[in-house]
Amino acid sequence: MDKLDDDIKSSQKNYNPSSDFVETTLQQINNQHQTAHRRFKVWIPTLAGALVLLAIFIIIPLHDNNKSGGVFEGPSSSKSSSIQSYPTSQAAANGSSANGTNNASLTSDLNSVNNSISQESSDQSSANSALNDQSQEIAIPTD
Amino acid sequence: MADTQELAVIDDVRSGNTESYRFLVERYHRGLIQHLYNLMHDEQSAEDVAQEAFIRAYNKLSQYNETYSFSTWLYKIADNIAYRHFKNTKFISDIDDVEEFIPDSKPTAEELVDKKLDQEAVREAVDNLPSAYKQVVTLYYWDGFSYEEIAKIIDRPVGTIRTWLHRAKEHLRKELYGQIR
Repeated sequence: MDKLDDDIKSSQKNYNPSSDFVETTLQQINNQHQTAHRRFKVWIPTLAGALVLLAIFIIIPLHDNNKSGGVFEGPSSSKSSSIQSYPTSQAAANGSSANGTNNASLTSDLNSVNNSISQESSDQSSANSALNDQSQEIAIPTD
Repeated sequence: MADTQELAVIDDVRSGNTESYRFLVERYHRGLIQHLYNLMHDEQSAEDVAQEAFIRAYNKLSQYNETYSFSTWLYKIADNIAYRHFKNTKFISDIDDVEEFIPDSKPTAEELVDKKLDQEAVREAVDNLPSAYKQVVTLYYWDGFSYEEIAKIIDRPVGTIRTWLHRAKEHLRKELYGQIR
């Protein structure tokens, strides 16, 4: 340590910081903390709401659609499509559908075909009934 | 490395107790503001930068490496902020500027006789150093940091710090005593 070292050391000009420096600094940190907390409190419910809406309008319908079989495009009343479908047991026997998804799909198809057949039977009954009614109306007694 | 009490406080703040941070602010604010004042010569700027440094340190406390002392880390943050504040005025010059530094003019014999080697003259001479030298001198003589700590604060090897300090003293000798010892 030579004279220069001493000269440099002793030459520092002292400055006393403001008395409220610590308080204002901590206050700023607290404010920042609270602002971040408020933002958190606003964003979390918003995000949760958005997720719920997303689930209701997009994910659940998609999931249901997949569950009912992606290949199936709704009930069909045409005979040709009904003919192409065949019972689940038969499909299993043929080994064409080994997994549960395909079984579910085929069961759904089968139900649809059965519904179509019932509908057609019902339509046929209605038509027959109408014809009978017409026959009765035509057969008017002459006297 | 931070002391045990300091580490306990830091852990406490990290776990969400903001009030514990008071301990660190109270412990280091005087030294930090003094350090910044030595560099910037402006009371308000020194306090503003110190405050920003404390806030930034608080926000980044999760990144604090406990192998450093907290003060070293804090001063590093503060010097970086000060550097950005005064980038346009070349508050901290790059190495090339330092290497090329030549004192303004050698004082004449008469000037040397008249010159009072009082504190004001030394301060002025330190102020006239290139900012990198000035930063090292301030950290070493006024803030009491070791070479190793200064190296961590300004991100330079310890050897560079020794060299800069040696050269800074040569410049100061020339400036103050008119000779190289």
